[in-house]
Amino acid sequence: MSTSVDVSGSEVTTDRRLRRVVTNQQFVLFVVLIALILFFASRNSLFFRVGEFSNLFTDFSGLVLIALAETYVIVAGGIDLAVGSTAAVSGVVAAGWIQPLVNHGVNQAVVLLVGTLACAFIGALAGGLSALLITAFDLVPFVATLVTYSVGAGLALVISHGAPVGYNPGAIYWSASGIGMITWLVAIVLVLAVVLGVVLHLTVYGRYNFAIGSNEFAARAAGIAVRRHLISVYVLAGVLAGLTGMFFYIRSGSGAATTGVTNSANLVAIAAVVIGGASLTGGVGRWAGTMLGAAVLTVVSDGLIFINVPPTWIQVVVGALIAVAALLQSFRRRSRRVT
Amino acid sequence: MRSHIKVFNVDSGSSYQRNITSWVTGNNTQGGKAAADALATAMNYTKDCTAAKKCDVAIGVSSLTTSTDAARVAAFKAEVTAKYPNITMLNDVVSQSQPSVAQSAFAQDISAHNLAGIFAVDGTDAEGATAAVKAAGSAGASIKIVGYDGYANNIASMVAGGLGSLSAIISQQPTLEGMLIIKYAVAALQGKKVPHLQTLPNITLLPSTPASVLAKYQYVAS
Repeated sequence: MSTSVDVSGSEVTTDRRLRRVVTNQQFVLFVVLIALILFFASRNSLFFRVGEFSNLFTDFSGLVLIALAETYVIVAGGIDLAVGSTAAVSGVVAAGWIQPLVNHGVNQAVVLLVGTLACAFIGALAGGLSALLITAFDLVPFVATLVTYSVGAGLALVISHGAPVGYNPGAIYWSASGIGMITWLVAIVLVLAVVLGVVLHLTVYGRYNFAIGSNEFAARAAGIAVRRHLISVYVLAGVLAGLTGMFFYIRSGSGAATTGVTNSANLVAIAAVVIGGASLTGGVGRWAGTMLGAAVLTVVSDGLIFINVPPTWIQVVVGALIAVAALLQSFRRRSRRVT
Repeated sequence: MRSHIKVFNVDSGSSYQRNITSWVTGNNTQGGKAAADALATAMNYTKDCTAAKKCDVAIGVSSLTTSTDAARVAAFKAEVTAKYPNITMLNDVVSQSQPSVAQSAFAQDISAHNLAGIFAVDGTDAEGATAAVKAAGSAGASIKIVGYDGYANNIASMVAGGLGSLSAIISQQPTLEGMLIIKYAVAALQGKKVPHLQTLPNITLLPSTPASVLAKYQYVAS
């Protein structure tokens, strides 16, 4: 369908609407997600089982918190390279703190609650360090969070001596319990993700985030306390990364210094945000886009293992996916300029 | 090397080791073969794996480029191919030394195949494998796991038994490796001739192995 001067005004609107929908990043991602699921299911029908969807939801949950953390930071015009190592250091510190409780047979709910609070606390400290370097010492976010990344990754190794910290099989069993394809652990993460979406798009705090990312100078002129807001954003990102550390502790039953570090979880999270349509220059980003970006990355990574693709090809496919998403964004920008 | 500084290496190394003064490592070929034999025994190969009903086995590695991982996996595959034709080996999954990544990957293998066994090429992969099988519940009840390296958690899992426990651990001799390399370093610095490469045999640890022996091979955090 194309527009022309001969058609009526209503037809032009329909055409533009259709074009808008078809080039909408979230719509395209949703179609891609469905297509991927159908593709993997066509290669192995077991992909449609409840157990497999439970696996997908669990892996998605392990990525989505740091991806949403990254969304807040990127929309505000920054970047956070420290989320992966923050998850690692939070996980090993919390694992060390709660192991005595495990050894004394304390109720698992209490153990995991204490661990969660500990991880959030360590994450807040890590996020606070990034915020301090950015707001008080005027370091650019890339460098500041690289410092926090290095400190976190190093401390995780120092504290753990390179070995797994703690041993809590009860946590693993709890991580697998739930209703149908949704475990309790996943349910908690999804509720938290929805809250983060509401705050980003439906509150004054969220609007300040977009305003600062779009034009920090104008935001300051409009009376927004930019420095204070940025501190809160990096602390929030740290807390979410810390909670991701607890997520992995619960899944594996121990803390590991390599968690989120050796697989460059920070870059995977950034990829999810970019695939979701956010702009690395700030001011643009959607909660739904990040959720879909994380879902697509999860389905691709897991699906390729599911259909027994050699590991050497998995990274290539994920890289190609990011390239396609970036090209799509470029196409959308050009398309908007033309129309 | 040009500055005449002597370099001593323990465990993993690159394929280019000509300039290393001395390198002490476990015999990964022997270890990989021992892992294949231990897994076949745990899976009750002769009875449960037949030409009509082959047994699927997953393989987890930390890295595709680490010499130890590569040698262990190559030997494991060679042994399986030669001695256990009724085992089907899935493509390797790569954990990048993260138990949680290994766990996710093994969960996919468990979900997609009627898995009978897992070979986890090192301690972190073994941790991921045990967690994946535990989380799989009844779907993982018949899956046997053979790991590598005597991580404390993995030895505890093996001794405890039950769902997701290790059936065997192939262990290096880290204490002996450390002692030997110090001995060779001192000797080399005194101008004595030392072996360029020394490989030590691996030990197969089983749930029935006495606690005193398990303690001897358990990794100690530095």
